[in-house]
Amino acid sequence: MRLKQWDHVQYVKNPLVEVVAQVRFPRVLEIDDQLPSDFQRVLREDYPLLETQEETLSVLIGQGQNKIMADDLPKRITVYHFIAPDRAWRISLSSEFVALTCTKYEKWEDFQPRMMTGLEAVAKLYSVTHWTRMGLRYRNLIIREDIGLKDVPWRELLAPFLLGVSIADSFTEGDYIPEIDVLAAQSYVSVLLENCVLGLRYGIVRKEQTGDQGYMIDADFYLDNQIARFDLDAIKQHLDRFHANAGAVFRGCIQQHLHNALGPQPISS
Amino acid sequence: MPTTAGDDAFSQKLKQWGYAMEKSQPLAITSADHQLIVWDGQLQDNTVSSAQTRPSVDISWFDRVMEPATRPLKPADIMPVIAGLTNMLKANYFEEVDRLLKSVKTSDAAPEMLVALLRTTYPVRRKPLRHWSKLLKDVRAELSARHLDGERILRGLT
Repeated sequence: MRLKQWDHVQYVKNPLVEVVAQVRFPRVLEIDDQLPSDFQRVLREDYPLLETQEETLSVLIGQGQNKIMADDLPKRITVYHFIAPDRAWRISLSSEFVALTCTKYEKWEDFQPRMMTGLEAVAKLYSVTHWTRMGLRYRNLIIREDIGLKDVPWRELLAPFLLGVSIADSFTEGDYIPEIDVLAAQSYVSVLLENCVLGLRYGIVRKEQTGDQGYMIDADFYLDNQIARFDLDAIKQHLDRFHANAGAVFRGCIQQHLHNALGPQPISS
Repeated sequence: MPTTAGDDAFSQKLKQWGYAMEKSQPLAITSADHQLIVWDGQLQDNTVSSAQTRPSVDISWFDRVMEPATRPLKPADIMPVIAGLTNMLKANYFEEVDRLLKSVKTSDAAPEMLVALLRTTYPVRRKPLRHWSKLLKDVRAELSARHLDGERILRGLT
């Protein structure tokens, strides 16, 4: 499927809270056995901070107030996070993937070269020959209060297909289903696009401390189950194609009212 | 498996938000739920199943419990087991769950599966799950035999 194209814009009130790209590869035991000091040396100028994480198998049991996190299972692999001083950028390395995360995304021209730096370092230092999964994920968080739309219902801001049954007004004796009566709404759909798969997760989110409400549009473009050569040019092209879809998906998920409120600024494609 | 950098989020803002969940709704089983439950296997002993008088139940997921792990398990491998068990517990199939716990061969199953079984059934271990305590004991012994830290892995279950 090809996506409907929209004008390329950059939002002044950017709802993107996180963008992450990841390339997975068959496990490199060298990264498990030795500290990635050479990798750090390559990145240290731009990513001087280091945090490590033991990637564990965490399982959520139950839901709501009854949920239990079974997180004390055997440890797995170490993830090394190399972080920029402003903590807006992070390159992560484990024996199974390299990833770039950005929390202040502005444009692809900033993001893509940083990802390629990480990929080049992996290719050079660890002679990775193949990749198995590649993904580029855009997580948009829409908080109405932040954009002057506090009293505007979601149905006037989001595409009807996102809201689904929560706007099935034929269910109610009244004119429409009150927003306050929608206790939870979360959906996941995966769609085969022309060059990748889109995993679209969306729904109502709440701030843990206050219960404030927002809406998440989480678009994950990926290719998986691959055994493809770790060719940097080819990987770059894949990521470029993933990126080319991102704006269209978000724009297709929102209505003109919200689009305008976010302050769209035209950018050249 | 979503695209991640090994954690849920890097953004501090994002960490404060989570998908809204319905709070503490009773786990009542409705007739519609019953229609969704399908018998797809046999319990592993010769006891006559109460499924003769009640809706049948899908235990196809139990095969996964007994599959020897040839690679490290991922959450996606375990979720069907937790979901299957949870469905049975929600439908008050305690006797059937107890028989499944009895039939677990700890020497064959992956440790993650064993822990998932114990943790999922932990909240109702005082229901008629007569074999829960024995399974816990057997799992602890098995983890020890595999040179794993049973005390840490099973923390909170004793």
